Amino acid sequence: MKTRQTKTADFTVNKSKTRKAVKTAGNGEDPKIKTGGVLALITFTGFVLLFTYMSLNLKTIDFGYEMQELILKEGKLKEDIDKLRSEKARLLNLKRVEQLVIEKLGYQYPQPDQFIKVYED
Amino acid sequence: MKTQINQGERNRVFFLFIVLLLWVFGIGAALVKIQVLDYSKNVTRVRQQSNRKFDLHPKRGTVYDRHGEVLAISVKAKSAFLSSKDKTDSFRLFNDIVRSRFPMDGDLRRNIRRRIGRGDKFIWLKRKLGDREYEILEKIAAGNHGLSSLDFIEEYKRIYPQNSTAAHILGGVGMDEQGLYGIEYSLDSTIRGQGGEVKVVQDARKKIFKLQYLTQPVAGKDIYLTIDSSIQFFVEKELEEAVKNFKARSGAVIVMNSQEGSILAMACYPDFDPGLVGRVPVKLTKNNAISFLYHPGSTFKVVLGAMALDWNICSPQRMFNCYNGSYKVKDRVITDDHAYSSLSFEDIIIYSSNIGAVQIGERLGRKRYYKGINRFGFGAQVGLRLPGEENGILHPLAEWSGVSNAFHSYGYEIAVTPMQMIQAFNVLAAGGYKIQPYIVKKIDGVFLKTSTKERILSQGTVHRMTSIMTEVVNRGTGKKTRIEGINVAGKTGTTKKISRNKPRRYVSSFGGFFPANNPRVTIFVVMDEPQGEFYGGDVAAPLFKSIAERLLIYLKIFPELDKKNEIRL
Repeated sequence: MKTRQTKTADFTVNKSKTRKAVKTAGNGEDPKIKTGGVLALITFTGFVLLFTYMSLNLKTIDFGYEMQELILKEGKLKEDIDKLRSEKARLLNLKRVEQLVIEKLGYQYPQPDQFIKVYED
Repeated sequence: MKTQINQGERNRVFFLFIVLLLWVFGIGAALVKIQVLDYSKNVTRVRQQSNRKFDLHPKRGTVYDRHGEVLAISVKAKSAFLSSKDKTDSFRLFNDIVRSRFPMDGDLRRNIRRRIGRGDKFIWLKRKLGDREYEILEKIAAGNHGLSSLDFIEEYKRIYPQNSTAAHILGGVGMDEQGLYGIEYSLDSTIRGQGGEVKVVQDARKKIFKLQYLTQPVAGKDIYLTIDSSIQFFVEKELEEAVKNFKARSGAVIVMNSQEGSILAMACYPDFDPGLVGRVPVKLTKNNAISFLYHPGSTFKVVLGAMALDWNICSPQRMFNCYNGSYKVKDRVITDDHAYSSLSFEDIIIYSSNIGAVQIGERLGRKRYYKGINRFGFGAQVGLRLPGEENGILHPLAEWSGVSNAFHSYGYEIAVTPMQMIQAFNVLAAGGYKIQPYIVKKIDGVFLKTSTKERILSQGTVHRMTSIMTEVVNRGTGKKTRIEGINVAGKTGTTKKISRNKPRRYVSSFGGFFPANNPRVTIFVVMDEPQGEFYGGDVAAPLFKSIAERLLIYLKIFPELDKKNEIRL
């Protein structure tokens, strides 16, 4: 039990010490398998870290694309707003409105004698 | 069980191994060459392909009227050009464009053909295309696979959605968005903004993944004018009708808020479309409201009368001999259109007697009169932020001849602009204060300092002069401006233009304000060279009236009506 504790503690500090500890333990476990397992764990952890790093990196690039797309989209929308404002102003052009109101709707300008003053007491 | 491998097989495996080894080494060597030996060269090439710099055009500020209606706005538009790499191919491409329904006049077609033939590499096809035009050209560009290409760049295009409304105020811009006339010119540095530069980083598929502003573009500032586009519209409409009716050479009308000094409308006719300003004759772009110089004639009697009353020269009832229409000053004979034996001070203004005015001027004296003219602001620009404003002509007192005082008394020997005249009339409307007119209300949301205000006439003078001007409208030369239920104060003016070749040329004018007891609007009307009728009371006064009637409705100034038109709830 004591040896196991030493092994675990030493492993984190020094690899050679660990091997020594395994050998001295003499508990029938194959040290090669243990080392292989540890190496596999390290490799796996490394892969996981690499994968995470790469996926984060890719995500960052994706966000970059997305952001630029949104910036361009925002610019385009601003342009569209300007175009719509100019179109609105063109449609509200008073010459055009007057023509529509008089010719299509048959309205007329009131004459001075057509005014009625309404008082509210 | 052991498998026997013969010598031939061993050789083949060895050969394959060698080939694979060479292949791996080959790849490795190529990688070393690309990544290590030619590193800097390749990095430069990658940067050249993926990093591109673009100039960013600044967006010109929008111009609004006082209620936020758009008068001028810039929107993005495509400009098309030919990248001519091969003459034959360029001619083929251009013929495709001509065959399409892309609108192009003969001159432009010939010019482009000539430039292709000459071997020009960059040829503008058309700048600032409309949506339909771009659609046509885009299809041609997409279907073109030749050496020469049809390309597009983005530029800003100035749009004036109200067409010719307020054309002389707005002015217009050139092809490169530079201000040419009007407010677009005088406030160009404010409206234009500053260009920028952007670095675009693209991937192998030309997809942008990074935009880096090297210099951030600064958009131009938005301008709010004091103009009311509705008032501007109907003033322009009435003016156009009047100019056409009287076959006048030109006309100008200014409408001003009497108490604030803000310009509500400033119209000139003939007008133009500011969107086509580059193709319009320069003389059409002249803003006659601020640059038309003329002798004010009888409208100037308002200045004379006000000064005479302010200096207490005489009472409004004092009688003057009018010599039955002919009066000699030095070697000059002054005449009246209608002969009067004698008139009171107020009737001299009401019936517009030149002889009476000359005598008032004599009593006032040249020094006091000159000082008064200066106090009203003549001889100097009013100070609107518009280009081309004239100072007017006011000769220094030292240069006045023996008849100068007499001529100035009925508005000759001095040249003024309609803007100076409305400023002078507005002194009476504003209770004796000279208010500097202004046309720019705010820039980028910041209100500008309001105009200066200076008392130049006493309250008593204003009261007396206003009542005389009301009589001008009720029973004098300005009868055609009478509006039922509204007190209008005004003065007519008719000036004969001095010309040997064309003797019968006149300038007709009318200035006034209403309601006379609480003025809200001051209007000044000028018509240059009307045909047939030419008196201010016949030409300018009716125009004043038609504008005033529409203003009454628009500004909800209700006249004192007949009892039958009143309903009490």
